[in-house]
Amino acid sequence: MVAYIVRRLLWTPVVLIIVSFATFTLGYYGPGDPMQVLMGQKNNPEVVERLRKERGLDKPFFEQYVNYVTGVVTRFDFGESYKFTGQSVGDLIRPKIWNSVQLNLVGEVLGVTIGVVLGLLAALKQGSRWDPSIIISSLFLSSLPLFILQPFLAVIFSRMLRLLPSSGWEPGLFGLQILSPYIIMPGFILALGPIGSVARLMRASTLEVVNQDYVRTARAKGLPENAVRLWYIGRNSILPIITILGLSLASLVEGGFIMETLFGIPGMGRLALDSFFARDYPVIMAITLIIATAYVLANLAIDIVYTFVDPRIRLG
Amino acid sequence: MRALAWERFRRKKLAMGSLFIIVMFYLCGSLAAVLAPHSYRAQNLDNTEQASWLSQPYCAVVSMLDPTYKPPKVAPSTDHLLGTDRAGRDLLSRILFGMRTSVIVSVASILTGSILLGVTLGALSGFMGGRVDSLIMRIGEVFLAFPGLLLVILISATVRDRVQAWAENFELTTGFKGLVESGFIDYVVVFGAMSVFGWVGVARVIRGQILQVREMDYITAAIALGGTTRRIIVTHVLPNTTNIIIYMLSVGLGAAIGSELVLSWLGVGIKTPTPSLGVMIFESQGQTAFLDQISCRKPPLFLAPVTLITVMTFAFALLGDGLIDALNPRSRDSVSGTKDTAL
Repeated sequence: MVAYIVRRLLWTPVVLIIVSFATFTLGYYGPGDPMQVLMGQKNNPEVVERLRKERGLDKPFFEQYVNYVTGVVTRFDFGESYKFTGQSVGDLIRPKIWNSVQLNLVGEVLGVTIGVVLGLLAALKQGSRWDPSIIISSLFLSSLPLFILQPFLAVIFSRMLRLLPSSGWEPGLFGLQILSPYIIMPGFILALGPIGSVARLMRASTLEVVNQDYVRTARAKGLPENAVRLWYIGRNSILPIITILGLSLASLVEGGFIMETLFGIPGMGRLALDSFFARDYPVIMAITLIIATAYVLANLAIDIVYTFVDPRIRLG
Repeated sequence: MRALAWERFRRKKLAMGSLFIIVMFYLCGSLAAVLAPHSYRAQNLDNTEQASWLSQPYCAVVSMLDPTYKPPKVAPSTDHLLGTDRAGRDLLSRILFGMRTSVIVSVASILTGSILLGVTLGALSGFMGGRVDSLIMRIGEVFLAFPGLLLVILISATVRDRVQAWAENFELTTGFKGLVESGFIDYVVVFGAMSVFGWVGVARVIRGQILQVREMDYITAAIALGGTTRRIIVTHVLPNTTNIIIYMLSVGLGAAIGSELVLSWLGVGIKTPTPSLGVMIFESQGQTAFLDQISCRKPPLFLAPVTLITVMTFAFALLGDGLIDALNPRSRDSVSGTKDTAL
């Protein structure tokens, strides 16, 4: 087992090198020259060439790649953005990651909490009208596309009731956006997805747990029903949710660009999209590497947890 | 085994209903060229934003409730059942052809990505084990590590020009016209990019199933009884995996439709004038548009595709849920005897 973990961890930098190499190749050989994009349609070829030389873009492929990798590994220097001339990629990304993490955290925590409660309820009330209604309504809410949720909620809560801001992203208490009203609408919308899937998962898991012998034992011992529900049923049913949470951990640094565009949130999604369209390759590389690292580590964590969940699976 | 699962599935009214809706969607999409009353690109600038004929009952109610109601500029006619858009194109036809696009892209990407690549690589990985397994899984991890949709966008943007050059060259040398015009390039780029990233999930699940089943006692028994490898695979391993495959395919189709929508909405998927629901949503979105259409002042340019995609997403979700219940041999209605609900 330990050998397996070590082997997987040793594989991580290899994966990252492959990912960075592939992204770099796509960028280098792809259409569109970043300096041309920067200068616009009527660009002066001499100026474009000078800008390229300044950034070392005329050097051969491998030299550029090696320079980049050395910079990242030794100095944590991800280079400078092409689009926002002069700004270091690190400075550019740091506030955006922070925004995305806050938003995703709210969405995940809200979604998983509500989902677990709903799933538990649905399973315990199985057979009555509540069970299918809860599941169907949570599925329906999670199928509503953003294009309709955002205008709908904005019209009701911002125009008619004037309770919440419909877009924007400003710090609230303690300078944190997570404690400001701006996060309420996007956070709620973001939570709808996890609510749907977590509720279903929780319900299925609870239904299996409810029939287990240890639950009967707990009841036979004379424990009050609420205690049985909370400690025995609830705790054991949550297990599969925890493995799902592992992957969600990795997706914290991502951002949905549609949501960020509709709500005016400066996060990772919008940054990624803008960088793609502006051919801002240093930023694209940095984003790809960050997300790739997060996913590789999360995958490893999940695989390890799985061996504890189902001992029949042998790794390696 | 499959018959039993199908029986269980048939009893779930909601899941059957969703299956019906999905089948109808795919049917209408495939037959769009036959069903659509007009071309999807025939513009008629004298007849822009005509009201929708089918919404008349709804609009009648709204006009009674809303004192400030102003009907759209052009009155509805049976010629354009859902009205026309800003360029005078028939909305119903555009929706039908948009459905066709979704059908083509989803089926193509699932066929190549999930089935061809995913099942093959997953099965290879599970059966061979050892170094082949490690190699395939690590490659898969690299693919998974890429921020999915973002890289589909990057690939689409990068590869498109080359595919276009190739297609134009092909037309020149073979005299086979109409290839570029039909939007073929867009389709290839989109579903190619989606397949490249779509295979990993299926491959991992197939491999996991095979790993699990391999250790089961009945396999050991079959080997001990002298069963050949081929017979073991066919009789014991495959039936257990097909259930999961069916589930993943249905979920995959739904996800593919959604991905195509997002890509086209961003402008890197299917491009106008080739029809796509995503493009239609992009052209007609906005808070004012939403309000205008809900209050019947404009034809449902935004509401129609959005409602369609909502219904489809919901249908796929219900279908997946029904499939899980029906295909799971340990489902509660067969073991514990509790009531089988409509879900």
